[in-house]
Order: sequence, then C-alpha cells, then structure tokens
Amino acid sequence: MNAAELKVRMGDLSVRFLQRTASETPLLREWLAKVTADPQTALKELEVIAHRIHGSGAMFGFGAISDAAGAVEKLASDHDAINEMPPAQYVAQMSGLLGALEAALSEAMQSP
Amino acid sequence: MNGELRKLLYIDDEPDIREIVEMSLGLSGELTVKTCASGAEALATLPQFRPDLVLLDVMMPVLDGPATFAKMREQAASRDVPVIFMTAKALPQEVDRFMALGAIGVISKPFDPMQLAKRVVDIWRSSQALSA
Repeated sequence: MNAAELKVRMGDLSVRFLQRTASETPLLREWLAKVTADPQTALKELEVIAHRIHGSGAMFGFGAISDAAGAVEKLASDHDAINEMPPAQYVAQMSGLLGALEAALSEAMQSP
Repeated sequence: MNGELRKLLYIDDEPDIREIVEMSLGLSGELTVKTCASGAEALATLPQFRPDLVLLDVMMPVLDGPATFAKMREQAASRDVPVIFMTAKALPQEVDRFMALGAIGVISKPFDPMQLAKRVVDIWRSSQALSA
C-alpha cells in the first residue's frame, strides 16, 4: 500500500467510524440509565465506549466528537464526582455530555 | 535486541486503529506487522511470531497495556522484547510511568499515519544506541 491508498482507506474508515459511533451513542444512554442500579458496571462501560470514540474520533479528524467523548470518559472515570455528587446531579451532568456528543456526531454526519 | 527491526507486533482492542497502524507501518516496506486485539491474544502470539518490537496500546479491557507488559516480562519468549506504549493519555507523568515500567518509548494518539513508521524506527534506533 502507498500513501495515496492509505489516505483513501482512511476516508473509508472515517465513514465507518461515524456509522459505528451512531450505533454506540444509544448504548451510552442505556448504560447511563443503569448508573443508579449498577454504578460500577455502567460507569465502566461508559468509560470504555467513550474512550474508544474519543481515540478514534481524534484519529479521523473529528475533533468535536473526540472532545465530547473525552468529556464523557472523564466524568465516567471521575471517582470523586461519582462518590460526592448526588446521583441525580451526576446523571443529569452525564446526560448533558452525551447530548453534546450526539450533537457533534449529528453535525459530522451531515457534513459533506 | 538483535539489531534489526523486521517484525513488529501491534496490540490494540480498536479494529480501526489496528488497521491504520498496519497500513502506516506497511508504508516503510521493510516491516512485517502482525496485530492482536487483546493482551491475552498477544501473549499467545508472541512465542510463535517472535517480534523485534511490540507496539502496545495502554487502555484495553480485561488486560490493559501495562498489565500485558508485565505478563510479557514473565514469559521467556517475550521477556526481552522492547515495547513502545501508545496512548491518548500522554501526560508527562504518564510518560514517566510507562518509561519507568521499562518501555523504550511512548507514542501519543492521535498520531500522523504518514509519520508513524519513522517515529517507531527512530525510537527503536535511539534505544539500540543506548543499549550498545
């Protein structure tokens, strides 16, 4: 493979990334809904999924998606916030971050 | 180390990143690259593949990068294989931690696919020079 072919393939992968992220954002919502009942599992899943979107988003040049996912990942792994924040407040904050991620994804998918 | 970088093993749970790394390193035309999706898969692959270098993602489920590295050090077949960590969390204190574990280098994500092979080879050569 040469550099030109790599660039073309990166373009294909970036489209696939957006499609996969679109299928993963509902999963993030599902895990958020389980945070109160099973915080350890739910927050780990949120962190892992968000980390993946954060990393791949940056690789494919989707900075807004990457940053939004990074914020989700950070809150999901913030043990101080988890332990000290009232659950309803934590869930609301995380929901807001997921909304930002969904908005960034929507914008990216609409761009040519 | 045997002084020549010919075979490289890349370990990452993200399939897109594995594909990008494999293609990027293939641009050099001189590297044989194999990828693994997990630390466990890598530990099973190392004795047969016997890479000259391992490129190891840090954040992976079940067995993360540092834990995989520790397991590598327990196996005769991989004990002395040099490792470069790849991570999105490349803060100075994190880099220091990975180097203190025994890695020869740390590459941040995101990386430029067009420059990855050169970066890897540069780290390899620097490490070779230090151990000569």
